[in-house]
Amino acid sequence: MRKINKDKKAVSLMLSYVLLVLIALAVGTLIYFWMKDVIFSPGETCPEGVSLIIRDVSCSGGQITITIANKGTFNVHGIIVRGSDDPEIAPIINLKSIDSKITVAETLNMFTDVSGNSDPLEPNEEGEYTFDYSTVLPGPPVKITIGAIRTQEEETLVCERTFITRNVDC
Amino acid sequence: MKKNKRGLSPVVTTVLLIALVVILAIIILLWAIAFIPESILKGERAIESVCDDVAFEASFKDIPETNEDEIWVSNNGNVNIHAFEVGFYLEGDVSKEEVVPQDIGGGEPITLRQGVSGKMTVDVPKGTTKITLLPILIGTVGEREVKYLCKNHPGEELIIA
Repeated sequence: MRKINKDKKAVSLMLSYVLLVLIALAVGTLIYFWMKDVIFSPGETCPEGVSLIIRDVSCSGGQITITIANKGTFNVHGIIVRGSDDPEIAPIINLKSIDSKITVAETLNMFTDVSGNSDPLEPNEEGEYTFDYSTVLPGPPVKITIGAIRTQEEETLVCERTFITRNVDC
Repeated sequence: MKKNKRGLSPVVTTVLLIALVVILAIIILLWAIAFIPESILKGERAIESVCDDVAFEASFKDIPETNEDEIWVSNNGNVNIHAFEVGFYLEGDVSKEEVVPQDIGGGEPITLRQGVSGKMTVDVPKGTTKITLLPILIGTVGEREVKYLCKNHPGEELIIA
């Protein structure tokens, strides 16, 4: 009899521990899945290796032509170009492209082929693009800023770390 | 017989104990939730973490002919900026106001979407040495839209000559 009693006690204890652990795990899992979207989900961002440089700039008849090189390790799908005619003020006026290789969507100049399909600037590739400044700036730009745009996971993203500013002589 | 009547088995008591604790916790949680402010979301994310992704640049434009000056702002990130809290610092004092950017061409109030630039016309108090900008976003609490000031954002500082 004593032996049987002892066995029963052991099983009960074991079961209670297992139940305790299972309940704790279940509650923890429920809270994790409930909160994870709110707390942990990071926004979609551009990868670290996106980089553009301005190779050359030339101006003529209210237009500015910029030669841009992709010096990063990822494709670049478009650019933001801004200009300023005041050396004291950061380039803030968005310039829109008049180039057939670019489709303009509001302030985003997206690289496209003749059929309008996306034609990204690949790593180590260069492209020459023309923008109009005569309709948005009172005078020729003295400074320009460019920034890269990427399309990833069906989202168009402005790559904030790629913005560079350069003085120009138009 | 007497032995069987002694009480419940340890397993049942443990289960009962846990069940009681869980029920009590749920009751307290439901009661306390009314006192906790609802979190503001932007998309499916907490707006506090969306604030970390806000990127913008600003430039001050002194317009000598008028009393009002302009602050030009550009959204360099992917989060829509609804407005800015503009702080004017003078002689150790600071006054703050909420300013909505306007379209550079037309002057209509706009939300700064990705890549978009705008201007804000501000009446800068005499003696102002510094202007600070903090972004204000629009989030949702349930179905309701609410404004949220990104207090932890580094913002932008403009030194006035």
